[in-house]
Amino acid sequence: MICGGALALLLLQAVPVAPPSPEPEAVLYPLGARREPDLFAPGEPLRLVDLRYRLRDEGGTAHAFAARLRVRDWGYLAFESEGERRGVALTTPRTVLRVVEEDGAWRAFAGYRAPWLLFETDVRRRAALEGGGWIAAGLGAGRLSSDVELVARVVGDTRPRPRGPALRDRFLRAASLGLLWQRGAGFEALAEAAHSRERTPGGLEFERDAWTLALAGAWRAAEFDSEVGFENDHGRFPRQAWRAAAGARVPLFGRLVAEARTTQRVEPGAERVAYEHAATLTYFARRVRLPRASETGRRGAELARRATALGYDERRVFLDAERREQRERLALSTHRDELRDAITALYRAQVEQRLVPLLGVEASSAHDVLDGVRSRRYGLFVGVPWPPAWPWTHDESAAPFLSLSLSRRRDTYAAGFVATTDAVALAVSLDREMSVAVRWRNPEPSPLDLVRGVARPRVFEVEYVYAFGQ
Amino acid sequence: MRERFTRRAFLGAAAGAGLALPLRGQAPPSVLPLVPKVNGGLNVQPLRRFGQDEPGARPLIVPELVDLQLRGVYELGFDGLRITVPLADTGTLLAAIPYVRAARAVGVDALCILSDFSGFSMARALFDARLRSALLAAYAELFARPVAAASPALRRIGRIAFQVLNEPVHFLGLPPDVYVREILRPTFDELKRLDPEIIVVSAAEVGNVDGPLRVRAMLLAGLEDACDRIAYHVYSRKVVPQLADHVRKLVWITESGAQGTANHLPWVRDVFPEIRAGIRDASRIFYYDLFDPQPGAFRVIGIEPDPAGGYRAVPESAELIAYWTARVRAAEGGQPSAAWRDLVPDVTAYGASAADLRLVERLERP
Repeated sequence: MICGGALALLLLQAVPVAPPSPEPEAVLYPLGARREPDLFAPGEPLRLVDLRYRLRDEGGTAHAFAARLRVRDWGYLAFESEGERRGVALTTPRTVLRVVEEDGAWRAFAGYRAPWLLFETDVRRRAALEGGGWIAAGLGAGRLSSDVELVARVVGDTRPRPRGPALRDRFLRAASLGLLWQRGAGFEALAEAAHSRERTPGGLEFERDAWTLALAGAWRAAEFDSEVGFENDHGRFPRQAWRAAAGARVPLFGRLVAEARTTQRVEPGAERVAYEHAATLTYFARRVRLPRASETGRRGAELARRATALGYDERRVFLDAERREQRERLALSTHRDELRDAITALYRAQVEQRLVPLLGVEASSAHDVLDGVRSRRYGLFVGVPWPPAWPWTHDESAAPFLSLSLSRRRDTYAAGFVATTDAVALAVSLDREMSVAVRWRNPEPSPLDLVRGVARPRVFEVEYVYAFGQ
Repeated sequence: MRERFTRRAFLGAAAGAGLALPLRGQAPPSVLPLVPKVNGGLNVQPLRRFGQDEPGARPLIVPELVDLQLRGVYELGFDGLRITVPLADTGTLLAAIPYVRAARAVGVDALCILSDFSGFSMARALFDARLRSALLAAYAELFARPVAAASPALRRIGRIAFQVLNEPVHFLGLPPDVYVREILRPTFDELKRLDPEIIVVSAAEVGNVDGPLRVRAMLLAGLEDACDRIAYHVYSRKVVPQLADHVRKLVWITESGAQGTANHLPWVRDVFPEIRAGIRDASRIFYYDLFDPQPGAFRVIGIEPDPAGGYRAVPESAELIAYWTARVRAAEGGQPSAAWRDLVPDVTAYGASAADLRLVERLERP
């Protein structure tokens, strides 16, 4: 520990820390001006940080409820309930424990974050109706430097399904080894090799080797990501398959973002097995800065680097939910005072670079040879900022308020059978932490539904979300 | 639209079409050996009439059309006939009865495709346990019951096989694994319970490059344990090396052919041996097809009214017909074979009985 502390000190000295910008002006929301929340305030003894409720009507009505509380300065306690599912979770700066039960099937997750190592294990007990047995997955990540991690995963199963007299049950089902390199916020690469024993629903077993190379990063104001994978299945029905995906998000003229994404799957000897292409064009009320290519990316990378130097083994994360989780974890740590500026700076950068979409169109097209379905999806998004303004108005003080999205998905099956799904969603952001959404979806039955004689009911959902410090 | 008839209407329809009740045990008229079956299997459409039935009218079955196609199967030396036995088209289901029974009576195996030409009625019935049980019991009674051999020279009558749907992804949009687990497997179990002699054949998938991927998905879902024969379709030479040739069951190529009359003979003469060599488990190939409404595509004969009465076959794929005929002649070795007319003087003898009509009527009720 002494060595670790000395090393952390050296690293901290080597890393320049940018001071947080002064607290920005309060952002105006429908519920009023929203000042910066105290991200470090302890529970006294409890403080509500998450509250979610969802009502879903899909033939029958189902309720989902989740709450999370900050307990003094030592952790977060979470509860969830949805249908037959019940769960409880406890998070501290270094540990996560979560237990979920659903219809007799149990699932437990535990994670521990050592200074340069991360361990996670996910254990699931199948319900008796599913045949029983335990599935255990483990992850170990060793940090080789502040930018590089070696990641190993294993999956075991005490009772692989389905059963068969000719099948030999071996506990170890999958293992992989990967190297993750995160160079600041602007570049990230993952190379992974995996080997697994796959048992099919028909009771056949074969071995699979898989290799993956994934890249993500930013170039000037744009973001990109790509992934190439190769799978080699051995056994009675051998197969090789390539998978490639690429995506890019490019800001144009300050307030417009064009996004394109494509995924392809091919098998040597066969023609293209599956593809999906999607394009989106979105117009914003404020100047757009994407997470990896902006101040938030730089601040996030800086926070992760400093936390790692202090022995918290934190990765760079770029999604708002991941950032919030990381921020909460670090705000509980014994080094929170050293990290206070970096945490605050990241939060302020996120608020400062909030996205306020006004108008968006999207289209996607997909085909999968295996099930013979061709899908097309069209979407339209209309947003109203707060304070309300005409869509063409440029307002750097705007915040998200209303958003209406409409979409139509058209699945064309073989022999020309068409099933259309229409969806409408209306969301109201009352402030940065509180929102209400209403969603409606009307799916038409697929051929499989007709054969099975099941209806696809309309789905109606209402959801309320409160997320402190989001 | 499903036709609905009362029992009286069915009987009237059969009588109106000249179909009498079957005369089982009728004395076989010929002791000559039958035409050698050297050309594999053949797809036959359950043709019963040209044109549409009048709305509300009784389904018309023209016996000359049944007789003409069956004669082609017999005289061209085929050992198997593949025919659709739809649930949603009562007239065609009734027409398939004499095709299947007469074929079996002359030693030709009958492969009945449990499939509709459109819609989901058959797939739905095979999915639902209660409907499946009633449907398969009725079909086993209609098609799997033994028939009297048409000749004492015949060592055994033709076997009966059921193929469970046709190209389920392509025609019905059913995912391959769902097809195997939820339709094929229970249908196989039920048919074997009804009659262990019934051969259960899996559905094939499309015969182009999309097919092998779906067949592989079916194999992974347990296809080998859910049928007696695995079926492939081959319409492209490219698919042959992609289809698994080491499955744990015999393989029937239930459709293979080439579009364009000029391509028929090269396909049968050159590609069929390639298929047999490439798919070592393949024991039978069904050529597609004897007759269909589209000239110049796949069919080998046309059918037109005969000025002398009835209908006559017009050879379209003359080279292929000559090729098949030459193989038959070579197998005959100069010895005469029993003539079709001597074996089956009246095809109406193989038509639906009153009891069959009652069975079909029951199938019509939901």
